[in-house]
Amino acid sequence: MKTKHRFTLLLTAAMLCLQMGSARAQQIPPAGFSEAKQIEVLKSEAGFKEKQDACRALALGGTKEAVPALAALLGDEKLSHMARYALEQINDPAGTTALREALGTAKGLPLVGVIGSVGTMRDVTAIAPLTKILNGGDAEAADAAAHALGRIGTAASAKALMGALAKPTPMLYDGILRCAESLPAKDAAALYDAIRKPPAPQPIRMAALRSAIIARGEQGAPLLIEALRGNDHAPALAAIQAARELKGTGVTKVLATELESGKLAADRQLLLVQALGNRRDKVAGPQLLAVAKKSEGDLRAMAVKSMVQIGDASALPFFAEMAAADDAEVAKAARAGLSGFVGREADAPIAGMFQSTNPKARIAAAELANQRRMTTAIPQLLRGAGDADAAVATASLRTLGEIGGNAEAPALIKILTSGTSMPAAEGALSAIYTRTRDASVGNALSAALPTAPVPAKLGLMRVLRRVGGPTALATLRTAMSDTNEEVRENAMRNMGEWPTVDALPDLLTLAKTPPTPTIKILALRGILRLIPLQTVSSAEKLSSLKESLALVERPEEKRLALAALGGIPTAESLALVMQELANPALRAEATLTAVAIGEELTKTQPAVVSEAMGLVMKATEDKQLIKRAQALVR
Amino acid sequence: MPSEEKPTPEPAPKISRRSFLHKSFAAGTVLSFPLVVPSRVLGLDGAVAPNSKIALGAIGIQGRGSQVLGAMLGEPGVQFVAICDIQRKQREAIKNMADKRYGNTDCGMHRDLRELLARPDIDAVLIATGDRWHSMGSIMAARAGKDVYTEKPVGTCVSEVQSVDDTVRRHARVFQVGTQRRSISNFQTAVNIAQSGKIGKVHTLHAGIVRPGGGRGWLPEQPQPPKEEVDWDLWLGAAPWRPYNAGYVGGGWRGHDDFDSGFGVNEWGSHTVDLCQWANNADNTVPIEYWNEPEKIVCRYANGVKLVLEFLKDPFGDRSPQFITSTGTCPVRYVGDEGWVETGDSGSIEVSSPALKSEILALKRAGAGTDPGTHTSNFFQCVRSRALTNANSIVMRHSHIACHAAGIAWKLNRRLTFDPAKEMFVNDAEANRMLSRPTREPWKI
Repeated sequence: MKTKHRFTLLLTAAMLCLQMGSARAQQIPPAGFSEAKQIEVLKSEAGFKEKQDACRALALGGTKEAVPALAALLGDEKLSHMARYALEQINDPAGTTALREALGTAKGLPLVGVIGSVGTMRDVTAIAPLTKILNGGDAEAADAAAHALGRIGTAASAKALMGALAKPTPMLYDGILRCAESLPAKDAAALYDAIRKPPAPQPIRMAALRSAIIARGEQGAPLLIEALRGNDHAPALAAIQAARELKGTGVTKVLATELESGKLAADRQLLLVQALGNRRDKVAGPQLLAVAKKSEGDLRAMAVKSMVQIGDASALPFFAEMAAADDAEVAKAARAGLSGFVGREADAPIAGMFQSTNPKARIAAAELANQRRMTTAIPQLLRGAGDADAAVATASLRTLGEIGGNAEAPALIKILTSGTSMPAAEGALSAIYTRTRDASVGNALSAALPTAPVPAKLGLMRVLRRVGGPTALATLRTAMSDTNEEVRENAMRNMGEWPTVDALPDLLTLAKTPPTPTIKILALRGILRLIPLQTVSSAEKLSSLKESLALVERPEEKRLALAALGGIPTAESLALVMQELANPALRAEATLTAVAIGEELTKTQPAVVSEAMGLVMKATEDKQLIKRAQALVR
Repeated sequence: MPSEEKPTPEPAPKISRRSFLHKSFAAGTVLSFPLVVPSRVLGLDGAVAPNSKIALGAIGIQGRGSQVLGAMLGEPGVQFVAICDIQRKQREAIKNMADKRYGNTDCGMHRDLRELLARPDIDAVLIATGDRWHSMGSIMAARAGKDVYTEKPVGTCVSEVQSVDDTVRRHARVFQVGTQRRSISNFQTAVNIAQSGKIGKVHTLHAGIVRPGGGRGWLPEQPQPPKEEVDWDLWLGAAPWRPYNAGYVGGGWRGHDDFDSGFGVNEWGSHTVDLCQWANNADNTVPIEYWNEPEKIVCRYANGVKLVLEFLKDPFGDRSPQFITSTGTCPVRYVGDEGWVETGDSGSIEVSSPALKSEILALKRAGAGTDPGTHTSNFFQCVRSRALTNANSIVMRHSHIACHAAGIAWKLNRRLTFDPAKEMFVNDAEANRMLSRPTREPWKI
């Protein structure tokens, strides 16, 4: 048993070590650090930089051993800061004592710095000398003392600060606010109360009021309400900040009740509604809903936004009601509440919106179904796709495209071939296929094409082109012989834009025997685009290019050919490109392509490249290009 | 510097600076517009009443600051009234820009930010200095009763970060740090995808950062210009003193530990780590473990999620293989057990599956991730409503502390454990000594 217990202990210790990783305790001074050496520098006649670096080093690795040498520098105008830089980090009682003693010896800016460090060390034994400085004639030092006493944060330092209130300064107020944060809530509230009234300036009164409310906890609610109801805007703003921060459901209840009471002016209601949203406490849901129902404009919009923030499911039917409101802000907020609601409770209200007589509501329903990926709404969406209102049909089809699947393809093809909402149906089919990549969609489209009316055929062919694949290609090939001229031409155009290299033989045939010059151009462009995509040898690509080049007549396509040649870094392609140097219309592209090929080819065929670059340099005036060509000349 | 040059045409207070500060403060600074709360009047739809102007001052405006100030000037209901800069040429350039825009000569100029902050007519400030002044400027502005929009990173060390948050809350000020990606739609959408479970349970967050670095060397000493031209002592602020060199003032302060933040981790980390914190619902905490791996710093949250700070070999060029270059600078990638989502400053979002693509179809093309427009709008809305901004001080505190902790782990090159409640390292005195930097007198955090 004992052995088992020991084993458990060892295991626990090992696990703790593992959890700690290599984060073993790092002691000061760290290994390899020579404190004595740094102290020696401080005592020497070394320059400022050396002494500054010594202080930096001691800040990281020094101990109480370094305190005397550092303390000696506290009155030094140049080095006082760096001495404190180290002393604060060493954080040894000896250093704290040295700083306190320097309160009586340092002058000017070094004294101001020393006071600051005493505050950082929270040296409670320094309160008396700091109080003396606070009430003395050196204004800069008095400011520093107020700051330090605030940081020390005890009842005694608070007393010292409050004793100086007859001659207030910004830093004195800051010190009081800061000091209060360290005190028990009751004492803190007393300090805040003392400065949340004139002659304290307005910003301090606002800060003190906010803190006075928070310090009181739930008991601060009456003070909050009082400020909220008051005539002055500044206290109301401070109260609103407190309303966001003050914790507790009890506080939310008080605030919600105040909202319900109707005692607040419109601007304050708006602020409170916003703050209740920020609190994210569902307790305020009924009051916010009531405000949203009975108000309009900005207040209604804000109430809806706040209900969205607290995420109360009971507000969802109201959101559905407001999603098509005439007020765009209200509608936007309500939709955000429906689309962003976590949980399926929002689905039913959205489904109900499909039944609305208001087309705007039906459109909103379709869009929300999309945002929430509501596949349960597909039956309603399919009905919506046939809605008499074109905008509803378009929105429904868009959503079907986004969340529908292969099962919806036949219905969408039917809609497309029926001649209504064709572009939207076409878009939906493309979106479904893009997402699912299921060949059955292509097959269904191919099957529908022969019997579809002409306008629908054009749309089906565009989708087929996006779908791709052998079945779709074959369908398009057949359509290129359709009896209808418009269908034929569109089939050829889609062939010209076919995304994959399997269309190359068809395109070559088209380019050689084009029905019109335009189709020839489109076919050639398709060829020149697809050749570089082939996964064949450079020689085969070059062969294809040469074959198509023989058909090219216009400079525009020749430029495309040059671009394709640029991707084939062989001596033969370089030679083809060089032929175009004499052509003024293509010289710029030819020189650029030649250099690009040259840069790839120079490792294997430097002589060929060098000779070509000599010609390029003569043919171009582009300095950058000449520089690149020059680099390839041997 | 030629002494015969015309004196700087700025209003020099006849009374002493200190006296001026106290008198102005006593007069009371409050929002200088009547509070009309309805959202449309609050600027939510761009209809701010003419008498509801927010008076804005700016501190330290150069490249990035000019972009942010430009966005702020386009805000309805905002009137830019004063520039503060330690460089005369910058003060004058910004004043000229403002006066030209408003068709008057009203824009005030100040060399010392204490003068600007003492003006009772200023409601809010934009701080766009170098890193070393972001925290001190924010703290001083909050104490002076101003609302604050400051550029990132905030705080050259953890204690400064903490002090900014504490002071802002203590003085009930509205605060926004310039991590504008919090207000840009593609980043919001990516975070939403991660938080909503659409990529399954998130287990790893990748944040692109610039490779850390830094040092303590000095640039060669140069003759110090007259204070009115370049106030070197003010430029240094709370940082340790060192001799003047124009290179620092011209932007060459980066890479110097005294002026930079988190050994450079915070430069992009304040954005990208922040976005990861957000995706992990960790705005109120930080990772608990930090360690180095080749070309990255790895952190682990208490919930087991890993945060990986990826060093980019070419942050403004090829960001592969860690990220998809086309998503742009400051990239983040959230990985769950069912997929991933990545985005960046280009505005595009990449996702792991076609199903997720539909999530981003409705997304309007976002502007560049560097565009501060929606972020500054959010700030001014909150100045009026006193609501929390998108990148408020609490959000800033935790994301910046996470960056600092990662930077310290990188510097010490050892595994560190961090206590998020105490905001201190566990069992590592040396690391803890790197959490704070005593300020040079007379500056106080």
